[in-house]
Order: sequence, then structure tokens, then C-alpha cells
Amino acid sequence: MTTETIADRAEEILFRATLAAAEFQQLDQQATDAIVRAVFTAGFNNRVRLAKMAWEETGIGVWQHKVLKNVVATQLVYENIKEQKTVGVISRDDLLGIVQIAQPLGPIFAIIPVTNPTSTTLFKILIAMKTRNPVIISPPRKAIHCCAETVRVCYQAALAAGAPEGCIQIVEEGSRELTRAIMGHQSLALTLATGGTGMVHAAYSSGNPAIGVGPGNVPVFIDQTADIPFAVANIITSKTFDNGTICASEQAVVVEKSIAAAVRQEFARQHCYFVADSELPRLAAYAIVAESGGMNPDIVGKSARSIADQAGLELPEDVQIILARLHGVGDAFPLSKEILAPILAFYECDDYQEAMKTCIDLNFLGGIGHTVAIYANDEERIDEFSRIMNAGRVIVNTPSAQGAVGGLFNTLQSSLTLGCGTGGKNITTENISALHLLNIQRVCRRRENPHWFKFDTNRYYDESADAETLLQAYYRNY
Amino acid sequence: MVTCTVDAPTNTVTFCYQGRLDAVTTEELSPLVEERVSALAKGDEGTPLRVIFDMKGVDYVASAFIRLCIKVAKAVHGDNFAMTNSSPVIKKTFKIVGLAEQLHLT
Repeated sequence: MTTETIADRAEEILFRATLAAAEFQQLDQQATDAIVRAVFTAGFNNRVRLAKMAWEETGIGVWQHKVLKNVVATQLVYENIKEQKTVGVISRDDLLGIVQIAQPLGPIFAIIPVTNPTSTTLFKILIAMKTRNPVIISPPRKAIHCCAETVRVCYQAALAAGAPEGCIQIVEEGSRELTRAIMGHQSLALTLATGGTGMVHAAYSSGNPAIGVGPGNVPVFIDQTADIPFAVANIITSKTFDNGTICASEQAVVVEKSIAAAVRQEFARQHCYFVADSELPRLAAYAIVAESGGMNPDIVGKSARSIADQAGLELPEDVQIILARLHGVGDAFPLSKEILAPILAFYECDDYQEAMKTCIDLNFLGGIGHTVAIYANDEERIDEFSRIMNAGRVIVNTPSAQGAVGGLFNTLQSSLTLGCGTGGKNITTENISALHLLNIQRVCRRRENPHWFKFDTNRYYDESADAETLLQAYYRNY
Repeated sequence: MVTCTVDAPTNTVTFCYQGRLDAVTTEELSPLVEERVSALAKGDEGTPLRVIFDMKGVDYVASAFIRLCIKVAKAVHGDNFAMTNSSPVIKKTFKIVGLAEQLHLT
């Protein structure tokens, strides 16, 4: 595409979205919720077909797990949002004299990751419709068709329910220049970026508001007080889910030496095997790209069996997860980095202090602000671990992937866009939801501050008057 | 939904709209409006045709109606098009699209 064509195309897309925004903002809560219900129903009813399309097109993951992701993105998200007030007056406090009014943001550019193409598309469309924001879907190159079909299903349903024309669009061109042109367009309200660091950085650098995510490198600490078979079973549930493609899935198991043997035995009993030390370099060479130090894209979402075969590893046929015993964290230990596949690093630490330091090293190796996990029955340990780690989500006694997404094993808001805070160069650590896509206006009625209006404010000009003296006078109750 | 009056001396046609101008309604009235404008524009070559959309009774506009406004404005070369008596909601709607000034909306 030429520069002129790109600019024209971006203009065309944003003009259509802006028209839709103008119409959308006139709808009331009832009309909006009718659209949301219709989109949820259509998305949910197509959950299996879309999941299979995603699996077939990307070759990533497990189609049945992609169905469950679609269920989370539709049913669970819909449950969260269906009663939320997102139009007009959403709260009123007569005592404080503050009324909050919800306004839409405007057109949203939604970047979709290849790991969760249909589920993230469904999720972002639902929360955009709930907040009366037109959405422009940017699919990954390797999942254009399944995303396009997802958009078609949702858009048809939305239109039939009274949504404005152009409320959902998809950019199928797959051009980096067009993506940047849209991100930086003056009519765009927000980029909602779920994807790699580069894409998120581009969104934040575009000159328009953005909500992005960060990468994860999740350590799971199994404490001495943990139920080891339970912990191992849950870790397997998480790490094998869609073949480890959720960014919040565990990347490394950290245990104290005192329970290491028991944990290793339990993993073996549940068909998770350690690769021999002599084979570690072969696994690392396959899993990590030497030049960039990042994970091999071809390994994403592949089964442990497939990885073992590709890397030429001697492992039992029924392997669920490949474990790699490591003695350090960092570039010299490539398998200590994020790998979105059923591979887990394994660390045996002398004591609790060393275990915590190892978890910190892992957390800070490309996973700041994302997620950490702990299995323990010691509340003090859980508190201490939680305070030390830098993570938006501290998952306790729960599969980390499903736990971080929320709504299944805990009461966290269900979301497929997980904020990582400033550590991940994001604006929030929250699980992104509909309420993040609103501009809230506050109507403030006069409610005078009694202390301020009783106090002689001329006293502030007296340099010699200190805080204690003035505050005493300020708060004096006659 | 729409009535049309023509002021011959000033060569001005005023379309008065009422109620809800959603996609279905707009689809119905668009051909009438466009045809009328086209017919009148072919008439007196001395005074250019002026088109006014009176929005007094309108409480909702779909994007399809906004497109109609753009099309008609273009047909009479922009400066000869105006929209009057809009409610604050309608004005805000056209502001969001960035067209309130271009379409001379008041």
C-alpha cells in the first residue's frame, strides 16, 4: 500500500467508526443492553465453530480449550457486565452531592493476539458494545480468517439488535503502516492492545490514549505447607490449558530443597517429566531464538509430545509437561524465560529466603507486573510473598492461567486483557473490563467544606505558623 | 417524517424533519430528498439552490442520515447547505463526527 492509500484507508475506517460513535452515543441503557445481549448470544452460540477455526488457522493450542476461552469471553464476561450501568447516570450520592455520568470514549482500535484470537475478539467486542464504543478489530496475520468470521457473527447480531452501522469493523490488510496510521489517527479514542511488547509500545507512542498489557514470566512457589499433589495437579491444569498459551500460565516452579523430591515425584506420577541435563541445551535451542533471546514462535501452543519430538528429547510418550531443572535465572539460562508452551523451569532452593529471591529474579525477568502464583497453607507466607512480588495478580492455591483470567477459580473480573502496571509499561494492573472504556463525568453540587469555610484562611500567609498550630485551629470544633 | 417547502424568490428548499431518523426511516426518505434537490438544482441557473434541513422535531439521527446530509451538502457545494433548529443532543452528535461547522449546523 502506498502512503496515500494507507492514509485514505485509515481515514475511511475512522470516518465509518466516527459516524457509528455519533449514533451510538444517542442510545439509552436499554437499547445498549439489547445489543450486548444479542452479541453475547451470537458469540456464545458460535463458540465451538469459532474455536475450531482458530485452532485450524493458527495451529496453536487445543480446540476444546479454545472453546472454553470463548465461553469465558462471552458467558462469563456477559455475566459480569450485563447489569452494569454504562449509560447516563451511573451513580448518585446525595449526601456528598456527586452524580457520575458515563460517556463513551469513541472509536476503539482493538489489537488481537494470535494465542487467543477469537476469544479476545469476542471479549473486546462485548465490552465495547456495552460502553457504546465502535470497535475496529486488528487481527494477527496468522488468524485473520477466524477473527473475520468472529466479527461477522457479532456484527450481524449487533445490527439486528439496533446497533449503528460501522459499530464493528475489522482491518484485514495486515499492514504495519496501516496499523500505525489508525493508532495515530485524530479520530481514534483509544487503542486496546493485547499483544507483544513492540505492539503495545507502538500503541502508547501513537499520541492517542492506550491500554496495553505486558509479558508474563510467572513463578509458582510451592511452600512446605502446600498440599503437593493438589498443587501439582493445579499447575498441570493451568500449564496444559490450550498448551500453555495464556500469558498468565506458570513458567517456573520454585520449591525448597526439603520438599523438592516429593514435588518431583508427584510431577512424574502425573506424567510430567524432567529432561536430562545433557538434553537441556537441545531443548533451549528449540524453545528460544538465540539471536533475540525470545521464545521461538513455532513452539507457542504446541503439545509437550510435539516439542519433545521436534527437539529430539528422550521422554515418555505420555508426557504432559516438560520440566527443566535450572540453577540460575537470566540470559545464561534461556529456559528461565517466558515460553508459551508446556515447558516449566524447576528450581530447588536451599531455603525460603532463597526461594523468594529466585521468584523475584523470575518475576523481574520479563514479567514485572503480570502474575505470580503460590501454593501454601500459611497465611503469613502468602502475605509476605504477595507483598514482595511485583504482580497485578497473585494467584493463591489456584491454576495460574485460569486464575488470572478470573471468574472461574476466584472472583476476579473475567478478562482477556490483563494490565501489568508501570512495570509492564501499562497504565493499570487491573483485568480490563467494560468500566475501563468509559469517560466518567462528575456532577458536583455545592457541599461546603465546613472546616475551610470556618477557618480564617489569612492565617496561611503567616510564614511563621507551622502545620501543627494551623491544623489545630483548622480542625477546632468551636 | 419530512415535509418540503420551496421559497422561489430565494431559491431555497427547506426540508422539515420530525421524530426519529433511524436507518430504516432514512432509507425511505433519502430518495425523495435527493430527487427533490436534484430536480430543483436543475432549475433556475441564476440563483444557486440553497438547501436547509430544519431539525426542530428531531430527537435521534442514525449514521445513515448523517451521510445523507453530507451527500446533499456536496450536491449544493457546501456553502449553500445549512441545518437549523437542532436540539443540543443533535448538535453534539454532529460535533462528534466533526461536521457541525462544515454543515453549518445551528
